Amino acid sequence: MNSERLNDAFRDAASDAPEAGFSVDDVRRESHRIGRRNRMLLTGGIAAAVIVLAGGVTTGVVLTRDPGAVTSAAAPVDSGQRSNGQGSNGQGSSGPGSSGSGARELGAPNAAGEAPLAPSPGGAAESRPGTGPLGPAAGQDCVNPQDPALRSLVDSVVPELASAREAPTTMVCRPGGGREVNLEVTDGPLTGLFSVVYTPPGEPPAQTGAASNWAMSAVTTASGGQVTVTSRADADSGGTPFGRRVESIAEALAPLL
Amino acid sequence: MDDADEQAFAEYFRARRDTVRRTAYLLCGDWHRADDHAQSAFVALHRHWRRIRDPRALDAWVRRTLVRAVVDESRRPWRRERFTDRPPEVAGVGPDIVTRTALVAALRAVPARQRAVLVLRFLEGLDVAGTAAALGCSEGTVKSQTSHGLAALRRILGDSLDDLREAG
Repeated sequence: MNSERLNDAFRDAASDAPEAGFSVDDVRRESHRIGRRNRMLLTGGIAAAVIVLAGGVTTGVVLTRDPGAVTSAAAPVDSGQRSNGQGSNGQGSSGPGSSGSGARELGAPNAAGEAPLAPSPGGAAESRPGTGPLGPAAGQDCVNPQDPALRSLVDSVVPELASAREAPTTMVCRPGGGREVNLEVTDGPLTGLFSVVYTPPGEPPAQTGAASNWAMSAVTTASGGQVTVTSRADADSGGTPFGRRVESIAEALAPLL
Repeated sequence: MDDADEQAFAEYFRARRDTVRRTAYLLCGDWHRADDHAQSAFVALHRHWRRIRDPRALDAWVRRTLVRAVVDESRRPWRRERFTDRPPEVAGVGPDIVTRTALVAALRAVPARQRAVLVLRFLEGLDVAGTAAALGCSEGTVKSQTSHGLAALRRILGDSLDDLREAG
């Protein structure tokens, strides 16, 4: 009796629906628009990575040919390795793979394929010569909840997340060129939703409140914006996945953003 | 997606659009925002259509997407919901009748997760297990959220929802 009355009350409360404001064609158009935009961003990211790699190789070649040159601290990996021990520490193996600090503590890979966007121990300037921080998304009216460029950075800082599935989220339309990545993550027995939100300079932080079984850290980024890393435990999870690492992850991402 | 997938999506959309809109409305209390959320949920579904192999999982996937979006939005600073000790005015509530407006207004005063549980259970008619599956939580959590949510509704609507006492 009571459940039925409740069902009736709830259905009645939602029974005066106005005409729907969208059709299946609207949904398809928006889906295709997002797909095209993501592909463009991915293409742009790859192009930028190629340029960065080419710049690094060129720098290395130039420095190798100049016997008087001294490799600077900001030289990319290739220059350090090809300068035959002329790096600042005098070891040919210097570079991201040899340090125990920064991204390396987070398990950042040293695979060549991830080099263009991988943070080096010294921060973004070293790993992304000539490019600076990622900064706001250009020309976007709505935040993409699965920003490919930000995802690349997140994957490079936390390699365990590279295989994480995109969490089902909806488009949050707010202006300002923000970036988001929302992932369904597993950390041993712990599961939950892992979000990285970049808020551009001058925009209000996207996420300021937290709840129980959340871990959140917000850090000012190199571009003057803010990166907020939030991990939310699933209700059945015994704890918050990567809960103790959100702060270090945010700090590692901040120079890159 | 190929033509067959597009056709299957269109059929699903036609069958479920109004239900999803109604659910979104009771979750957020505004038809315009409800349409935004519902459309976004269908856009997300369209983009993931080929990855969702089990057609029986579609409803749960959309529900989960929708609820997560509404709950997340309620915590965004520019639209964060604020809870108050003062219950909303529920003009027009008779001694035994809960008006549409009163229930919608009361739901908006219930914390988002509890509201989601109530909407899934009493609008969509899901049982405890179905609600737990849709929200990705345990059945115990659904039961406790239902109890707390109904208690919150009772506090706001008073005697007009006395019958809720046995429903949780």
